[in-house]
Amino acid sequence: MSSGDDWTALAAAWQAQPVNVDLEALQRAVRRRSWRMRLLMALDVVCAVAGVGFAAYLFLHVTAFWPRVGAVVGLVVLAAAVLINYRLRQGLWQAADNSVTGLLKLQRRRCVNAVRMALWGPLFLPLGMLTGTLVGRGWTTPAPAMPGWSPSAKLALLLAVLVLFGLASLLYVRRQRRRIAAIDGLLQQLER
Amino acid sequence: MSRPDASLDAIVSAHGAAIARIVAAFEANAARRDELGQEILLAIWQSLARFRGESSLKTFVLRIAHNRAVDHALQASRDLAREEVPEDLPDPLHGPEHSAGLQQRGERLAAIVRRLPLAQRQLVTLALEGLSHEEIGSLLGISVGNVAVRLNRARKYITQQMGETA
Repeated sequence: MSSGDDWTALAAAWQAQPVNVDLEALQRAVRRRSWRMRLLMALDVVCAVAGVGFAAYLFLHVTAFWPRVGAVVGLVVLAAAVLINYRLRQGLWQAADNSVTGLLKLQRRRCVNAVRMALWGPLFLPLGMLTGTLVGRGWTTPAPAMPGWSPSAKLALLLAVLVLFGLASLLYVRRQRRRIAAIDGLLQQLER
Repeated sequence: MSRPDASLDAIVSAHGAAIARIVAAFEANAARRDELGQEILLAIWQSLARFRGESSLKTFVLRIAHNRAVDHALQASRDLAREEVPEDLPDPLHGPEHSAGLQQRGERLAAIVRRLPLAQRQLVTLALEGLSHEEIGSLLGISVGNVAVRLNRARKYITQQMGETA
C-alpha cells in the first residue's frame, strides 16, 4: 500500500471517530466564561478609575499634608499595579502570534512576568499599608480601633501577615519556575 | 478570498467534530476533555475578530485548536494522556458491521495518536484532518520537506501499531 493510500485509510478512520464532546454544553460554558471575562475586565476598569478618582479627590480637596502625600503614593502604587496587571494579561485575550511556538513563548513571557510580580508583591503590601496610614492621618473620623490589642500584638499580626504573604509568593514563584522549565522543554521538543 | 460565515455557532456546526477529534487526540480524560474543548472554543471566540479569510476557516480553527491543545498539554504534562492501546479490540476490517468497525478503528487510531510525542502528535492530527503539507508547515513553522519526512516516519509507526503492513 502506498503512503497516500495509508493516509487516506487512516484519515477515513480518524474522521469516523464518535464525537465524545457535548458541543452545545461547551458553547454554553464558553458564553458564560466570555461574559465573566468581560465583567472582570469592567470591574478592573471601575476599580482603577475609582482609585484614581479617590486619590484625585484627596489631592484636590483635602488640605492636610499627609493625606495629600498618601494620595500621590496611592496614585504611584495604582499606576504600577495597573501596568503589571496589563503586562500579565498581555495575550490573554488574543495570542500575539499564530504559531504554537509563538503561543509557548508568550506563555513563557507571562510566567516570567508573573514571577516578577510575585517578587514585587511583598513590596506592594507595605506600600498599600503606608498609603492607608497616610490617608487615615488626615481623616476627621478616627479609624475603628482594635480593642484589647497591644501595639506589640498588632506588630506581631502585621509581621505574620507579611510572612504568610511572602511564603505564598515564594510558593507561587516556584510553581511558575517549574512551568517555565516545562515550557522550555516543550520548545526544545518542537524544535527537534 | 471571500470571508466565510465565522460566527461561533457556524464554526461549531461546521468544525465541531474536528475540534472534538483534536481534543480527543490530546486528552484522554473525559472531564479534562470538556475543559480543553472550552479553552479551544473560548480562544476561537477571542480570535474571531482577527479572521480576515486569508486562510480557510478550517485552517484558522485548527491552528487555534492546536495552540490551545499544546498549552493544555503543558499544563497537564504530569499526567498527559498516554493510555495504553486497547489490545482486545477486534479487527474492524473483518467485523460484521463495517461502519461500527471504522468507528472502532478511529478510536484505536486516536489512542495510538495520544501516545505519540507532542510534536509528532500535532503533525499527525493536522494531516489526518486533511491539511496540506504546506499548511502544516506554515502552522508549525517547519519546512514542507521536514513535514514530509516526519509524517512518513509517523505513518510507518502508526500503521505498524494498527497491525497493518506499511
